Amino acid sequence: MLFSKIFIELEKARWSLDSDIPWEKFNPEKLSDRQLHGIKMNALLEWAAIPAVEMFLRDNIDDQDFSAFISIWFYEEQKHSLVLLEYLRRFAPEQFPTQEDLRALRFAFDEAPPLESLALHFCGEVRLNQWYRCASEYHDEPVIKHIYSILAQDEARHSRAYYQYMQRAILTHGDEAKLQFVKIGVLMTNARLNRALHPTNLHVNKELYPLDTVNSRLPDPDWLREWLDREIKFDQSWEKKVENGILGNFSSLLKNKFSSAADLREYRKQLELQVA
Amino acid sequence: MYCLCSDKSFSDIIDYQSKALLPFQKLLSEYTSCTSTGCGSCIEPLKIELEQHDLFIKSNTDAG
Repeated sequence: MLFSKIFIELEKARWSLDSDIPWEKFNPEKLSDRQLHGIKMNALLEWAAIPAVEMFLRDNIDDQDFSAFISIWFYEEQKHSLVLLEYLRRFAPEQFPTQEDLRALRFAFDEAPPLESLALHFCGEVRLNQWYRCASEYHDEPVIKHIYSILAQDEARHSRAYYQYMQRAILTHGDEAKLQFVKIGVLMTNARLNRALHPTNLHVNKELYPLDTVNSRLPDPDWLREWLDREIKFDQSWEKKVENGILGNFSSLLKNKFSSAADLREYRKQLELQVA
Repeated sequence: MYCLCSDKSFSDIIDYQSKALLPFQKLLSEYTSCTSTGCGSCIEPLKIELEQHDLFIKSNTDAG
């Protein structure tokens, strides 16, 4: 069972909201209102782990190991939201989200193939890791700078955990799992398909369309794109790191060298022919 | 595997180690971000891969 191994690894790395955040170093002079708005939106984005957890538990009812792991992921993602909310509560209470803001993010995701969701979240964690690294470099205020650096580390550990479940799925399901993973890998490394390639930008409920992405349900739906392009400046050099992370780990997972997104697309074509 | 925090593949790290053998902790600090700004989740799998390639050198500070 991977759950017990991952539990121990993540417990060793766990940080304390109380003692590992240097709250006393807060410097209000190094923070703008726009940056506070970004912290609020980011806290809400992390709050959206709730519907993702509901989806994972519903769609993996026969997978007790993975379902148990989701308890850790849920705890840590809610902690990410909480540390950002705590920052606002202490230093900018006027920015604290309302109950309505939080409630808007609680909506059902349509049923989805569990292995695709797994790969999607692996890629999402790779991307979040780099977004938060970039955000940590962007901020000058010491407390939020530190918070983003530890969130980035958590997201990298989550991607490693999801990776282990992907390895296990290939052992169990073989080519069926590979096909689903590579489908998502192609989607998540193709910048022309979606400019902010993250699960929070995907449509997940047909009945609620177009208000069925997490981002569309934020009080400021345009925030993420603005934050990436104009504030933290998540440029091509950062995108390259995301691509490296996805392709590098897919290379190892699928025992094939993928140097570019085109390599992954070609592999998918070959695998489809082989399986047909 | 690929270490996100170091932006390096395990192959690159193993290749580096094969060219300039270093005790494990020194390798981590010189060629990866695992023990500085990184998340640490690659340390154990990297150790296993180095052992498989006969390239693991125990550091004085390593337990066990």
